Amino acid sequence: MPPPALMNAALKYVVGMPDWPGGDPEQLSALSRFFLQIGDEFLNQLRAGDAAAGHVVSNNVGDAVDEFQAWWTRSGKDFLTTANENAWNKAAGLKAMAVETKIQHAIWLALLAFMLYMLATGVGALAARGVGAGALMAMPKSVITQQATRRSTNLSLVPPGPQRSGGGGLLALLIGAAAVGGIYWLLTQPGMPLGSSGDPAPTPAATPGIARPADTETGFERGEHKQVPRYFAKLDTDDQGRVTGVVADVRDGVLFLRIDVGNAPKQKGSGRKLFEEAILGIDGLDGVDAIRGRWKAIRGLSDNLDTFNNMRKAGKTEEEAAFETFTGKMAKEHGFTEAEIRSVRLGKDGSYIDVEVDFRRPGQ
Amino acid sequence: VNADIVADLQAEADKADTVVSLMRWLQKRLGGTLPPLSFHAYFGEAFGISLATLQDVEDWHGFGGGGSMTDDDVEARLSGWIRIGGRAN
Repeated sequence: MPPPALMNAALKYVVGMPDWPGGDPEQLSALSRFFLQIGDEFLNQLRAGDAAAGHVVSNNVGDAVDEFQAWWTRSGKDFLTTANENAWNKAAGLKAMAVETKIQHAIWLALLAFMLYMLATGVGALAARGVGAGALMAMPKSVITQQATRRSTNLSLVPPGPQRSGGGGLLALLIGAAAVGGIYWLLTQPGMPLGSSGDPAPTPAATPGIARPADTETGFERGEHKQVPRYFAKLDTDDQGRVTGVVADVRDGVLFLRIDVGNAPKQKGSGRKLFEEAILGIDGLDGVDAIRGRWKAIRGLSDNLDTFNNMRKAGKTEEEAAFETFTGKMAKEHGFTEAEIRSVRLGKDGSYIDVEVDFRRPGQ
Repeated sequence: VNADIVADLQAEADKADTVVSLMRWLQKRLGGTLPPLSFHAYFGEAFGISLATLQDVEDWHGFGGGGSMTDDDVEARLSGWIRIGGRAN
């Protein structure tokens, strides 16, 4: 169990609060958003852990396993699905979790601390593998996701054959999941941040490390899964030291992507592999209405634009040319078979220097 | 994405004077180059800025990709998304 001092340190780290509990509503609201996003990630991992749970149950025996199986079957999956699709949608829609009275501040902070503890417990295996708890708290959400994913992988790698459960990792999962349930129930009570009463408070000012200005940018509304931000980033370097990787971000149902395969574009499938990784990283394309291509005449980022220009010179329409690009081909393979050219800019020589296109599913 | 660098970047935001100086800091931290992809990943992770917004400044001359966007343009587009120097924007 992480000591209270750790929670205190984590809270200070996140919002720079000198004391705890305390702080101003603006900071609190930003903090709450931060933790809700972590909660979202954690829920996603638990949800994705369904297969791992089945694997654990089928390869282990013991009271803890029986208990876990019963809980998972009875309420775990349903709860996680419901919570993921409804509760955190509400959280995103709230824009900010500023609360109005000091009592509510205290309750909210206590819940956050509990969630922090739950997270530390739920991914406690990290600490056992040498990841300091302080570092864990400082991790951005996607890193926590990755680490939690790895932990899920560990669960699924339980050696075949009956084993007595030591209860460690499994119990952590159980405790974590149960804690999520408790948190969810508390948060949805009347008067609580996810409860039915009360309007969203104004969006707070940008705050280091936790600013999510996209709230205002995308105009989140309640109850729409597609508007929950989904983000994935992976960086690497090729054999010549050039940065490669992918960044993907879903906002307002639009998937934005940047992929750089470095100096290995001729390695067949490298871009495709990154694209598919990104799709997995953002939890699939459900709720994605469009894949947006933004192609510019910038060194290192112009592959799509070059193809687009070549295809135009070859006589294809803008829409046809768009589907000849790497992004266009990937979009088409995933069912986004219609292209809408949003804007283009031409250079002095008549070639395209800036193209923005949305790939959509038919009828969307 | 290196979690230590993300944390350092968040901390550096409190000391920086401008967004561009923060980008320059990251450039130095990454060994002297700042490809747009790294910029997207680190600023996205550290400050939760959408990729759509970050893509708006890909033309920044400092990336070295031939873009002509000035420091002032970058500042105008991004300063509202990050609390620089501990002050609200």
